[in-house]
Amino acid sequence: MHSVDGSDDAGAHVEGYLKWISSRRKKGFKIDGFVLTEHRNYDQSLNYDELASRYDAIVLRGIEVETDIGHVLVYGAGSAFFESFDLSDISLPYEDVFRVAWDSGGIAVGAHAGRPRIGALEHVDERNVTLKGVGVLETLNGGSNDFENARAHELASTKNIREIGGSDSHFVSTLGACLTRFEEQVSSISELVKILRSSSSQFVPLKLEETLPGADIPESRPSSEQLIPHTSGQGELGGEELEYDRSVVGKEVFGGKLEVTSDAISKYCDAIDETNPIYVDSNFAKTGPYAGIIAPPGILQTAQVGSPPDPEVKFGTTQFMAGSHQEYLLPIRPDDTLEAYVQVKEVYEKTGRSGRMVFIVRQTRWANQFGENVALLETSMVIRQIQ
Amino acid sequence: MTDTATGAQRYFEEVEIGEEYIQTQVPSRENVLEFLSTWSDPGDETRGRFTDQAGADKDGLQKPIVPGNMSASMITRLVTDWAGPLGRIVSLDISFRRPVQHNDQLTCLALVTERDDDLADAGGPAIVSIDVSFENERGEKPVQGTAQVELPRRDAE
Repeated sequence: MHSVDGSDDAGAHVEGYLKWISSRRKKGFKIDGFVLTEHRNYDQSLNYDELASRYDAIVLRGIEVETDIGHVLVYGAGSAFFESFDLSDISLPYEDVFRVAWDSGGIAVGAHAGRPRIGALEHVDERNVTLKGVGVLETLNGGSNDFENARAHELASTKNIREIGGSDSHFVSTLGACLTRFEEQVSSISELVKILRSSSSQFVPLKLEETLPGADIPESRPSSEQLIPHTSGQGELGGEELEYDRSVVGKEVFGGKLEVTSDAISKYCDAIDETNPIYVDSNFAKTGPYAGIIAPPGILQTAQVGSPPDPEVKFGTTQFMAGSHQEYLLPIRPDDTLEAYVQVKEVYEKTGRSGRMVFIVRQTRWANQFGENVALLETSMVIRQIQ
Repeated sequence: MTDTATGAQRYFEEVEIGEEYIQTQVPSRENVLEFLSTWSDPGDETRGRFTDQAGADKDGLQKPIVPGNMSASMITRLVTDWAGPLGRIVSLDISFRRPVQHNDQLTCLALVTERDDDLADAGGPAIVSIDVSFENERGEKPVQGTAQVELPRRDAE
């Protein structure tokens, strides 16, 4: 009901999900299919029916949008929905989203309802949001912890809102962590929408292990009072247009040199308790494919390089590392001299559990003394507003 | 920091989808300081969040945290430990979803999700995809990612 493909911050692809379903079925789990819900993106030309049929599975498509009560999954909405909203907006008015989705023949569902900021619960608690027009909430979410899911379930029960489960999968192996069991057949998005819109249909959220033969869905799960609370709500939602210097994006500049020494490799290996003999045992390494020790790829994480031109983002008080994409092309050896070339690849914003977030993606291209690229490292830094 | 040594050499033909490799890592303040000493300037004002409670408080954090690049290094090590000495990381994508705090008891999981037999049969590299994650004692997965790893083949020996 809730999974993300290889765009945005996801590391998974549709065929990977399908292969994973096959492997889970061999172990006795029951997963019939999944719904892809790309963030703020819906490409109508994509169709996975043929691919899905090869794996005897169902792949449906929806979208995840960002509203003023957090993220919302939208299934089966008609063209009127897509014409009504700027899907890149990170604070769409939720009442409009739910109403237009319904009026255009689809349905909207509040995603990960128990998650701070990006779920409905905190908005209800803090701003007395009524959840007008909200008929279904995702209360069992694979990316939420048990406490957050318990609170989401309690919210749905209090407001008499129906509940689904979704894996919120951004990685292959998390697909199916949480699911929804339907009593009726679901083989198309229109059948899914019909069931979710009907007040008499039967569906229930469950966890993957509860699909095993003989396993039961518990009548009740631990309440939030029985669980240890974990939330870290910080910051506030913001809505103004992001200001930054767009002219620096994509400009690669020289960022400095790195002399790779045996001492530096040894020190890095000590710091992370590295024991792999290809990095620490010269006798072993001599017999290996590189005829000597090489540096662990992670050593580039510790290299200090000059910054690319600053996009001067006018937002936030603190920044943290949000993600990293790394490609390793050639081995790095002791006595290599590497040159770094750095650039800002992208600046974009989203909402998360801490409210508005701005991401700056920086790339470092590492080349050796022969002019060969040895690695490409991208780092996403998230900027947040801390009160 | 880690309770397991490097895994044995893994070969492409023997890898199965769904196969798991687990190790435990507990990054202490001492580990963090040692890691910082490999790259960070002691005078850098932003490193307080990694070393002491006052610095963490300043950034609205419950406890001092492990630097993102150290978590990335720990993930990198998980992957190379799983692969064995003759394996090679082709690419790695990591998502930092929550902070890793000092002394978190991290269950580090590498889980095989795909084996590219078609590419290998066509004479290409023997590539395996794995999901990697840390799970803390609170049941949260603060770091998750995917890796593509090239493994040696038995029949090439």
